[in-house]
Amino acid sequence: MPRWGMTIDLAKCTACQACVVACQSENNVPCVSPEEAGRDRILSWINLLPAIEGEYPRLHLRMMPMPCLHCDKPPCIQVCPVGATGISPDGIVRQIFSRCIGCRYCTTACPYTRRTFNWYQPEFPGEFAESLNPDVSVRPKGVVEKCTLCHHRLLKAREEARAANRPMAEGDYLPACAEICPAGAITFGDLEDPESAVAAAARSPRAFRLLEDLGTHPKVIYLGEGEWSGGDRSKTIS
Amino acid sequence: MKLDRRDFVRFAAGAALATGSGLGVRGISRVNAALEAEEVRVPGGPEKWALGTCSLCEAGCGLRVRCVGKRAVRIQGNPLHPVNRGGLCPKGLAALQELYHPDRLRAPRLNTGSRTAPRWRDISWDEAIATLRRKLWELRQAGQAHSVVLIDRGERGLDSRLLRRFMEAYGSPNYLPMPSGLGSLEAAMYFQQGATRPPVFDFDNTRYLLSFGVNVLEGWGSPAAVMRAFGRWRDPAAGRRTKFVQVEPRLSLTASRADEWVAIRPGTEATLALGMASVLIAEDLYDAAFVRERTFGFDDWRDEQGRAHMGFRTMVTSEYRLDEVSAATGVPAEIILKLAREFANNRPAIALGDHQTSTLPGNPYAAMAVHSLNALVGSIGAPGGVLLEAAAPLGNVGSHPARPPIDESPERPMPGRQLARLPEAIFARRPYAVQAVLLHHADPVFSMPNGEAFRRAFQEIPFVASFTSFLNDSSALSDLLLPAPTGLEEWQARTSGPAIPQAAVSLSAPVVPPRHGTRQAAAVMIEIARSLRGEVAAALPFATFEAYLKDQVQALFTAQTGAVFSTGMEETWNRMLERSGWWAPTFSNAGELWDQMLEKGGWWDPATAYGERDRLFETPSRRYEFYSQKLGDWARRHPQFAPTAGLAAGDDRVALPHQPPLERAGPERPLLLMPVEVLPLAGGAGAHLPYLQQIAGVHLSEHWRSWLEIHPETAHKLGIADGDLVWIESPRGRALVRARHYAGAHPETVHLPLGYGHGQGSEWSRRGVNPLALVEERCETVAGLPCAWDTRVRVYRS
Repeated sequence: MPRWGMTIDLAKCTACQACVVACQSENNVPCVSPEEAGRDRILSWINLLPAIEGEYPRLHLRMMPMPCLHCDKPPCIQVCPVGATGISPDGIVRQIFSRCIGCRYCTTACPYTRRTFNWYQPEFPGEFAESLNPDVSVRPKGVVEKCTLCHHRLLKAREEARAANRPMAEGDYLPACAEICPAGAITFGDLEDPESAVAAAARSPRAFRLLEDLGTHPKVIYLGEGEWSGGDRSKTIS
Repeated sequence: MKLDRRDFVRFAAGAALATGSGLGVRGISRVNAALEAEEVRVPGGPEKWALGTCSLCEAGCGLRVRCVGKRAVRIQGNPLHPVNRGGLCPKGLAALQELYHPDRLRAPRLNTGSRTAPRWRDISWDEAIATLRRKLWELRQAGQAHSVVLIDRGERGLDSRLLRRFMEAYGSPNYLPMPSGLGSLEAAMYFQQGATRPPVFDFDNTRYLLSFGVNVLEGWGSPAAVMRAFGRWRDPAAGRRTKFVQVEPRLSLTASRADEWVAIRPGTEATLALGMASVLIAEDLYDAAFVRERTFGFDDWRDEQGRAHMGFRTMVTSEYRLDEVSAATGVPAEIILKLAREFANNRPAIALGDHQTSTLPGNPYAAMAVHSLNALVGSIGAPGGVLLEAAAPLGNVGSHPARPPIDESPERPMPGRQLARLPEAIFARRPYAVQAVLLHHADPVFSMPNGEAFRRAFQEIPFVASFTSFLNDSSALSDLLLPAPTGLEEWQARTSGPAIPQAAVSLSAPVVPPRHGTRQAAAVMIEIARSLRGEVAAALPFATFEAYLKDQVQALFTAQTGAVFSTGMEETWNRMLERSGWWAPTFSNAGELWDQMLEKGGWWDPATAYGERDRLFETPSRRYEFYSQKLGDWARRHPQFAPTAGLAAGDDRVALPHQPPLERAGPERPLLLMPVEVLPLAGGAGAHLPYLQQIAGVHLSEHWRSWLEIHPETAHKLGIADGDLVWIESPRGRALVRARHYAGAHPETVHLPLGYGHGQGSEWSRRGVNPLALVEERCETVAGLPCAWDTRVRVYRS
């Protein structure tokens, strides 16, 4: 059984946000109105968290791309009263949209604030709905949504491998963010497979997990910025 | 009774209400009421992947588009395309929203009102084409063909080549592309290397990149190619890390991602570059062989008349001493020493600058100062250094008509064109009056620093027609609107330009059929050319744009070089074969080449890159010129020129790189306005796309609007709180904008993002303020480039 995970190399990340748009387009995440965006109600399954520290001109601006971290011990699933969220055997923290009753306990429980709530019925102005992905359902108002590691792509890749009568190979299944990253900062694969690129990256001395002391065991692992970056930036976020 | 899960939950909540207090339950029932809304159902259909070409900037990245039925649902990068290799920037991904945008133009429109108060009437394509044809026919019959001007969004597309061929056959020298933003670099290349081709920076192979305020990661050049190189620099598997240093007054996203950010006083980049040059010389760190054998004007010299001239060495060592440079730039002396030593010891190294964005060029003298660092370390023409653009062997564009181009400047040392001069020429009606302007996806009113002058100028022109997918600030002033398809709906072919050192041509068929009856400008102009008969028809003897593209591919085939896009392995093999004199194509005729280009995304020549050293320097000395003889000669023949550059007549500095004079702050307007580029809106396009509006201000969590970055201490002195609405007032006018405290803002400067504040078109793009409406309309005198970097402003609370 694979254990899907991801590394995000902060040294390679250019903060371009291609991952943000790719995710939004792949997963039918609607754009909220400018007014709602101003109230911090943008729906996103991955976004960049900015953090600035220091005084001019000794400053650091860090940008952290953050999807759902797919914890091995996710605090969100324990609070769901209806079993709308759970963890699959291969480690993906799922959200079953049609089961969600919108109580938002999980958005409160997630220490990484990676869950968003649909305050309104999604709108696709003009013909934007034409570009919706048929593999992903559009979530109605009142439902919590989050990154699924493009679970629909896993199902597809699994089926294709089965049809070709071969085991799934590395790279068969990639979430949209990992696939698009122009700088190659995101590595995705099976953390259990010691030969995989993601497992190798996770063993890097630069690897760290967010808020590790909470015991959530995230499977999205960051690689710190490393040399020449003005001290160890990796530790300061937690 | 059928009960689904949600109904059940509501039922259970109702039961709870019956037994307990109603307080908490009200919330639940309100949420549940929402659940009754109609669900959005997404239709399926047969799935296919089609190749496309991105048209959101000039880089022309290769796309793979997932189509379900007739819908395009997802854009990815073409992994075989040598520019982006599968990656993409967020702009390219947002092309879907452009395709399905609610505000697209849907039918040709005729303006029956006036320029200032247009009244639009929908007309048929037949009528639209007849109107345009009649106008062009009449002007040509009247001997006024030269008075027609075509402004193009860029010149990398093969449709642009077709439009240029049309204009030249028609009899007009006035095919004018929008500026690339590389104007100052091109000027440095021209004066110091004699090159008329743009420079290409070999980012993939460089060991050290020193950028003087260039927005390297925020839209400059080809974003996807630059970001791919950046990822490679920091890939432990690729060997030693390439160091990237950003010199810039503001902590931009680029500066924050660099290995080192050097904060500098605005406008003093040239001083720092020359200060570094003086360290390289003093410490004997420069490439002595290169300087001796391949450069001119390094040491003091005498010309043929026996006049003594100051050499570069004398100038920098006497005038750019470390302590003075440090005082002028605000960069500590030890940092300057360190930068100079690192730059010399990590070759191949590239110095890039001076500051420029994809729309605003820097200053030519400053660019020369920066480029002289490349010469000092022998990076010119070297792998990992500064190369010249490789041209694809496409057919000739056409002959040049006899009349001078309208925007050519006889008063400046840099020959060639400056679109910025067009309004001036229109007002002066010199060298001749402009009778008609055609716009091809171009919006100079919004994106030129002197946009306001364009607005006034267009009002004076008898006929303006615009090919565009959306109404914009310029097309709103036209008589005829010709709705154009977006990039995914049209035949696309483009040369990669300076994105990569190799020549490449992308080719793709429409991914989805054109919507709303739009037509591609190239196709319309082929039709018009046919009906104009004579030499115009003869120059474009094609039934369709596709037929024209086939003709261009024929030229590629005839050149007998290069290969179809392929994987890295095949590429290496092809390159090795070609270097040893073999050409082993996968195609045996132009038809096969065409089919394979469509299948893989295009053609390129993996072997073109280096080894052109003989053609690198086309200066009078056939060397790299620290002292530009072209500039020196010009100044001698035009004694009035030196004073316009702030120098005495006869001063040798007029031909040497030097620090251009700085605007001083006055009590009236104590702050400097620096327009800044953000990647999602880079190049002025993208504000109409919600995907991009949502992410454009991420470092300050700003969405959907302009913000004015101001240093917290400066703001405190002015009594401006974070989030206050403030007026920003320049000599040109004032605008209301939200002030945001940003610790990365230079304390004497305010920063306003470019790309916001369109006056016309989609409601989404009209949000915010256009900084170009505030910058002063001044041009420097060497190349006539707009000076967008030294506008002084006052900021106060509203």
